[in-house]
Amino acid sequence: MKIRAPKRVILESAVAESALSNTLRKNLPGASFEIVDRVSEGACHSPDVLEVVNFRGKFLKSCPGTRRYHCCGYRILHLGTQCTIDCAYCILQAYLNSPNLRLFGNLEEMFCELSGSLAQNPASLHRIGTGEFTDSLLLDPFSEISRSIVPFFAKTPNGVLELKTKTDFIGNLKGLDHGGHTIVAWSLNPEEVQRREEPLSATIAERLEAARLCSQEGYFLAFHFDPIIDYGEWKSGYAKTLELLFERIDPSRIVWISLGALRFMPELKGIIQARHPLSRIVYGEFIRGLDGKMRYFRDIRAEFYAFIAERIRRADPELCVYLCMESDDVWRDSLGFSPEDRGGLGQMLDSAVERRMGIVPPKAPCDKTDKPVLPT
Amino acid sequence: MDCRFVAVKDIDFTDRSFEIGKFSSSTGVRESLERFGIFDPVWLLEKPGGYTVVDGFKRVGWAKENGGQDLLCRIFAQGSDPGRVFSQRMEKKIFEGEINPAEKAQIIAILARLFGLEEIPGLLLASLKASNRREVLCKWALVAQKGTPMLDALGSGEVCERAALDIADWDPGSSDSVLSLLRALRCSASIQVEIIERINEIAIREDITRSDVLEMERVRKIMSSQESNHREKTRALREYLSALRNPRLVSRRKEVRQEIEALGLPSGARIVFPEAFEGGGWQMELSFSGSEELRRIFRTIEPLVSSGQLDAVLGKR
Repeated sequence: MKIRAPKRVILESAVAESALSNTLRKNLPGASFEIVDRVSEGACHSPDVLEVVNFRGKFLKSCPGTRRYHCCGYRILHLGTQCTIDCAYCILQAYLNSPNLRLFGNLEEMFCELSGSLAQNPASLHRIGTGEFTDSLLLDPFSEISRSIVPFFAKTPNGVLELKTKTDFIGNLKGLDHGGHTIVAWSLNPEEVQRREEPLSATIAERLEAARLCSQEGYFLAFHFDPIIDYGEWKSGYAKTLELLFERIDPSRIVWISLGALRFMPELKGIIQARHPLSRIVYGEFIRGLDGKMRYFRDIRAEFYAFIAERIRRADPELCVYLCMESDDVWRDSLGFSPEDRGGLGQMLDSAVERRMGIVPPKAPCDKTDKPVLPT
Repeated sequence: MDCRFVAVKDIDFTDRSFEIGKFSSSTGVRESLERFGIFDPVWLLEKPGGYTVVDGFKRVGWAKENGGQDLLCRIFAQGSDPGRVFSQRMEKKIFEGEINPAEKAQIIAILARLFGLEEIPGLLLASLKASNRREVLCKWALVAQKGTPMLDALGSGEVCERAALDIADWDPGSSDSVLSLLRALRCSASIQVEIIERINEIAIREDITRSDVLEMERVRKIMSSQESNHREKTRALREYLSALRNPRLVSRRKEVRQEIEALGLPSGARIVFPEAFEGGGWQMELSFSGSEELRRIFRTIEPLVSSGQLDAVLGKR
C-alpha cells in the first residue's frame, strides 16, 4: 500500500515542540510546517494537510454502544481523527467540521490519563484500541506513535492494546518490546469488496502478509469482518477470504474475530451517493435499527454471521467469534447463544484475552504504573 | 428607466429570453385585462430596431390580439446589462407575490445563465427560498430545461419541488414516464418522493434503467387498471415497489402474517409484529366492549399461548 505523505503540517503552538511534532519534522522532510495558535474547525478539506493539535478533551472514551445491542465494552484511545483511505462506507465522511487528518500532539497528557485510568481499576482488564476515529497505523510511518504506545502497554499488567488497521504499515512494530500486550487487528472483506469500496487500502493479501509478519514478531492478532457487505456473490467472496486467512495465519495466534454487517447513520447515505457514485452499498435491503442506524434486515445479517462463523469454527472451534452491536435474537439465530449465556460480551472477550494471551489482571491493586516512553 | 409610449408593432414577440412562464391557470389575468385593460406598464429593453419584452408577456400578447396600437411602457435603455435588467424584474416579481416552483426553476435557470451558478446574488436566492449549493442550483436549471411537461406539472402543483429535483438529472424518457405516472396518481409530496427514490434505487441495484422499472408488466397493469381509482393505484404501486426494493423483508412479513392468521385468534385479538422484526417489541392488541367479551377472548387465547403454537411464529424472526 502506498501512502500519500502530508505536504503541509499545521501545528498548534502549544504542541509545536512536542515529541510528536519533532518526529513528524524528521519523517516529513518535504513538508512545510507552520505554527498557528489554534487550528480552526471547519477548515477546507485537503488530503495533503496534517493538523497537530493540543487536544483538550478526554483521550479515553467508551465504545459508543447502545443498550439495544450488545457492546464489547472496548475503550477507545483517541489519538487523532480522520483517515485518507476513504472507504465508501466510512462514518468519518460525515465529520464535516474537521475534515483533515489530525493528530493530538499532547501525548504526554494522553499517557498520564491512560496511566491514571489503568491504575484506578487495577483488578480489571482494560481492552483499549485506537482505531475508532482514524486508522491505527495510517500515519504511523510518520508519527511513530506505535513506538511509544506499544511498549507502554507492555508494562501494564491489566491493559491490552488493539491496533486496528486496513494498512500494512507495520514497520515500526518490528523489534518493539510489546510484552504480549498488543493485538494487531485488520478488518477483512472479500477482495472484490476491497477493490470497489476500499480501493486505497492495502489489499487483502497485503493485510494478511502484514499479519503474518506481526505474528512472527510475537504479536497477537485479531480480525474484523466489519462491515460485511451484501452483494450477489457474498458467500463465495467471504469464503475465499476466510480460506486465505487460515491458509496464512495460525488460528491460535488470533485472539478474536468480530463480525458486523454494514450499518450507517441515515445522513451518511446522501454523502456516500455524492462522494462514491459508483458504490452500490447503500442500495442493499436496509431497515432502520433500534439505534436509528440503517442496518440490513435481520435475516440477512443472521445469514452472514452464521455462514462466516461456521467457517471460522471449522478452522478453530475455540476461536472467540463475536458480533459487533447486535441484538440477542440475532446472536441466538446466527451463533446459537446469547452473550448473556457466557457472562456478557465483555466477559467473553476478557476470557479470550486470558486464554490466548495469558493475561490476567493482578488481584492486588497496583500502586505504580511505568512512565510512558515518548517518541524522541 | 424611461416611461413612454411604444408602438406594438415595434415589439419583438419572438424574443422570449426574459420570459418566466407561470404554467398555471392565468384566466384571472385575462379577465382583468378584458375588464380594465392594462394597469401596469409593460417593461421593455430597447434594442436595434425594436424592443424585447422583459415583463408583461401576457399583457403585450393581449394588446396585440386586440389590435392595440401603442402601449405605455417602461424602457430599459439599449445596451443595459441584461443581468441588471433581469435582477430588477426579479425584485419586482418576488415582491409582487408568490412564485410557483415552475417560475422558480425558470428564474434560477436564467439567473445561472446571466450570472453563472456561483455568482447569483444571494438576496435573490434567499427571496426564492433556494439553496445556494451549486448542485441544487444545477438541478433547478435542469428542471427548467426539461420544458413544458415538467413545468406544467410543477406549476399546477401535480409534482412537488423535491420530486422534480430528484428526477432533474434522469434521462428524458425516464423522467417523462415518471411525470405521467405521478400526474396520474395525484399522490402527496412525500409519497411522490418515496416512489421516485424506490424506482431509482431498484434501477441502480438491478443495473437496469428507470424506464425499465416503469415498464415492468406489473407497473403497467397497475397504472392501466380500469377498476382502481388513483388512491388504489398508488397503494398497489407502493406495495409493489416496496416488495422489489425490500424483497426479503416483505416476504417475511407476508409469511408471518399468514402464520398469525393460521393461529385462528379470536375476533378482538390481534398480534402486531415488530417493525422490520428488529429486536423484541411484539404486541398483542385486545379490543373488547365489556368484561364478558374480554373473558371470552382470554379463554380462547390462553390455550394458544400455553400450547406453544406462538413459539413457531415468534421464534421465526
